[in-house]
Amino acid sequence: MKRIFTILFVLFIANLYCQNVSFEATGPGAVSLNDRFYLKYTINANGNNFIAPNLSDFNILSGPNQSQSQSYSYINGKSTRSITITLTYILAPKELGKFVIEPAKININGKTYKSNTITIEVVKGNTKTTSNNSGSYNNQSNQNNNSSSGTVSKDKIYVSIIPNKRTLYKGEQLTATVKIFTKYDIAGFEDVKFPSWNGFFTQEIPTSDQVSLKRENVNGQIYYTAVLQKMILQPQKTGTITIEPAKFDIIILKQGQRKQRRSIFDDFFNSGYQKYRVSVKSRPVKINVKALPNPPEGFDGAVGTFKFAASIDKTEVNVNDAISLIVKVWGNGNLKLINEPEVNLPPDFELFDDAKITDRIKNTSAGANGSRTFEYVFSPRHSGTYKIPPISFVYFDPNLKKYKTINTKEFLINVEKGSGDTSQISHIVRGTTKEDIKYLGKDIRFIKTGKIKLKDKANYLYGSNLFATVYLLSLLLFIILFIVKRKHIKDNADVRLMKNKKANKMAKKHLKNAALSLKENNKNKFYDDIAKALWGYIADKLNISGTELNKENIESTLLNHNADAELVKEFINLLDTCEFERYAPTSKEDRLNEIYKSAETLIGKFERIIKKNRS
Amino acid sequence: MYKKIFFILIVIASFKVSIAQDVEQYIDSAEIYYTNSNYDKAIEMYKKVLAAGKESGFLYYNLGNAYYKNNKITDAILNYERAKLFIPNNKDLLFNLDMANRNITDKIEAVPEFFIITWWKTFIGIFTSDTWAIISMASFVLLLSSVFLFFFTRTYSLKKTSFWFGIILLFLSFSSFIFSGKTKDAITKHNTAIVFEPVINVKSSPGDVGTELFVIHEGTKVTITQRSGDWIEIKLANGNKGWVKSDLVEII
Repeated sequence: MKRIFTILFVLFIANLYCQNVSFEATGPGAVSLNDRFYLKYTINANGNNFIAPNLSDFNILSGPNQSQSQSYSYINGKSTRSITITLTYILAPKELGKFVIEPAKININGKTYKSNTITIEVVKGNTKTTSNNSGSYNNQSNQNNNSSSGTVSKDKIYVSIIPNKRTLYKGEQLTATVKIFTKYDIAGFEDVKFPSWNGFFTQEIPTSDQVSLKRENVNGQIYYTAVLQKMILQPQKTGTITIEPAKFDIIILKQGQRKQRRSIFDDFFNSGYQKYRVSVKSRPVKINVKALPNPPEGFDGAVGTFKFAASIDKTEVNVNDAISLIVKVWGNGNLKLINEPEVNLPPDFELFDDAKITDRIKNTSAGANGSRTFEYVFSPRHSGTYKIPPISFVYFDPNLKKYKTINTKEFLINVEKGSGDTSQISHIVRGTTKEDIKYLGKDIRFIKTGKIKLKDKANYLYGSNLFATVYLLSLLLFIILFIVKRKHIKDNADVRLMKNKKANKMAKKHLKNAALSLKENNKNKFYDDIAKALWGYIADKLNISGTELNKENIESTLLNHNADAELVKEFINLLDTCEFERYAPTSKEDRLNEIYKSAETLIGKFERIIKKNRS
Repeated sequence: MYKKIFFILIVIASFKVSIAQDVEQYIDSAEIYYTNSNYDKAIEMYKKVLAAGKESGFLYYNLGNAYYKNNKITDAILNYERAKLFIPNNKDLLFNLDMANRNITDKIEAVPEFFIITWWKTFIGIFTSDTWAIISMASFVLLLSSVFLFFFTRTYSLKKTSFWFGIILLFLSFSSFIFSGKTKDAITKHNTAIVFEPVINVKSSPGDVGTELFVIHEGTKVTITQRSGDWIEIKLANGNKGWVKSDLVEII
C-alpha cells in the first residue's frame, strides 16, 4: 500500500516537471548572403547536456548565449513555476543554397528531447540596398513630406492576390490569398480595401489579427511577406470572373541620410527613420469558371467530395412517440450551400418542424471541411409497419469530373399501439382540432339567399283600417245574428203560448161540435170530434208537434207534468175508445154521453194540473 | 268613360307588378354581387330595394352582412339591429351581430335581464306583428262563434265545451292583440339608436353647457328615453343616462 502511494507521488512530481516540455528552434526562412541572423532554441524546463546541431554550413559569430527567465505565480492556493531558457546563436551564411539545420538535443530529467529542423535558404542578397539608398540621395531634401512616395520603389513593396486554381467548375472551391511583399519596415496600414469577391460565395479562413512578417525568397530576392486575408471562394456563375484588385495605403519606415541633417533639432527629433505613405494595388486576377456538365435529377448544387449517411434513433416505437432521423453530409466542398435532402415520410407521420441544421465546418487552406447534419423529428399517429424510403444525395466531384449519387438504406419502423396514455394524447389532439374549427369560424354567417318575403314599409295590419274593420264587422255580425236568433226564439215561444192559451178554447169548440154530432146522431163524426179535441188540446198544451204526437209520448210528457197516473191512464183509455168506436162502432147510445162527459172533465182536470205546474 | 277608367286601372296594376319584379331583380343581383365579394354593389342593390319602400328582416340582415364585409362595422350593426326588430330569434343574425359588436370600442356590461323577460321577448318574437294581428282577428271571430254557440245550443256538452273554448279564445285574442301592438311599436317607435360618431361626450343636460358625464364610441347601441329639441336623452345597456345631440346617432 505504502509503495503504491510512493509511486503515485513520484509520478505526480514527475508529471509536474515533465508535462508540456517544449523544445523549439526558430530561425529565418531566407537570408541573404551578406546578412547575419539569429538561431534560437527555446526550452521551458531545466535541462542539461545540450547537443548543438552541425552548423558547419555557417560561420558562428557568437553563441550559444544562454538567457533564462523564471516566473512564479500563486493563484487560488496553487503555486506554479514557469521557466524559459533561450540559447541563441548568431550565424552568418558562407555560400548560396538551401541548408537544413538538424534538430538539437537536450536531456531533461533523464529524457532526451529533440527540437524541430529548420530550413534556411541563402540567397544572393540585396547588395543593391546601399546603392539604392545612394540613388535616392538627390531627393532627400524633399522628403520631409510623409505622403511623398517618390523614392519608394514599387517592386520593393507590392500586394498580390494568389488563387490556388485559375480554372475550375462552378461551385468548386478555391482559396485565394491576399499577400503583401515588402523590403521596407511597415509601420502600419491605412485605408485597407480588400477585394469585394463579386461572383463568389465566400468564407474567410481565420488569420491572426496581428500581421506577422515572414522572410521569404521570391525569385532570388528576400522579401518580408504577410498574409492579410485568406478566402475560400465558390464561383456562383460561369465564365470569366475578374477579382477586383486589393488596395492598401501602407505607412513604411525608411532610413534617412543622417549626415545630411546635421542640425541639432534634426538629430533630436529624427531617429533616423522617416515615415512614408505608399499606395499599393494588386493586379486583377482572372478566374475561368466552367459550367457543370448536364446535372442529373436530384442535383442541388453540391460540389466537392462528400460522404452521406442517415441514421434513425429507434425503429420500435409506440404511437405518438417522437423519432429522430439524422441525415449527415460530410467531406470537403460547399457544405454551407447544401440544402435539406428530400425525405419522404409516410403520410401518417407528423413532422414536428423543419429539419434542424447543425454545421461543423472548418475553413482551411484546403477549403471548407466538415459536416452538415439535418435532424428530422416526427411521430407516427397510428400503429403499423412503415417504411421510410432511401434518401439520395447527388453531388459533383470536381476531381473525377463526374456526378455521384449516394443512397442511404431504407428504414422500417414498427409502430405499436402503446399504453393507456395514447388515448389521452388523442384527446388532446382532438381538442386542438376543435380549436382550429373555432378559429376558422371567425367570420360572419352568409346572407340569406333565395326569395326574401318583403313587405311595404310602415304598413302594419295592427292598427290598420282592415284590422279594426274585421273586429267591428265581426262584432256587428255577431250582434245582429244574436238579436235575430233571439227574436226568432221569442217568436217561437209566442206561438206556443198562443196555442196554449187557445188549447182550452179549441177543445171546447171541438166538444161543442161533438155535442152537435151527438144530437144529429152522427156517431162517426162525434168520435172524430172528441179525438180532435183530446189530441189537439194535449198537442197545444204540451207543445208537442204533430210528428211526435203519439200515445207513448203523451203519456211520458203528462207524467213529466206531475199528472196523476190514473188520470193519464183514463185519458189514454178514452183515446183508445174513440179510435176503437170510430172504426168498429158498438152503437151504444148512453156511451156517447158518457164519453162526452169524461172528455170534458178530463180536459178540465188537465187544464188545472198544467196551470198549477206552470205557476 | 268606363273604358278610360279601365285603362287607368290596368296601367296602375302593371306599374305595381313592374315594381315588384324590379325589387326581386335587385335582390337576386345583390346576392350574386355578394357571392362574388363585390360588396359595394351589393349594398347599392339592397339600398334600392329599401328605396322602393320595401323592407324585411332578412333584407336588413343581408345589407348588414355586406357592410360588415366592407368593414363598415357601424353600418353593419345598425342594419343588424334593424333586422333584429323583425327576426329577433334568428340564430344567424344574433351570431353576426355578436361578431360585429366585438369590433366596437365600448364594452358595456348589460344589466342582466330577468329570465322570464327573456322568455317573454323570445315568445313575442316567434311571429311578426302581422301574424299576431291575424291570430288575434281569427281567434276573435272564433270567440264570437263560440259565444253564439254557448247561448243558443240546447245540448249540455256542447254548451260546456263552447264555454271553455270561448275563454281560451278570449285570452288568445287579447294577448295576440297586445303582442301585435308591441312588435309593431318596437319597429315603428324608433326608440333605440346606434352611435355613428367616433367619440361622443355624453352630457348631464341638453345643451352644450351640461357637465360631461361619460364618453361613448362608435357602434354602441343606446335607448332613447326623452327628446328635447335637437337633444335626446339616451340610456346605455348598463343603465347610465345622459344627453347627446340627436344627429350624432342613427336611429334604428
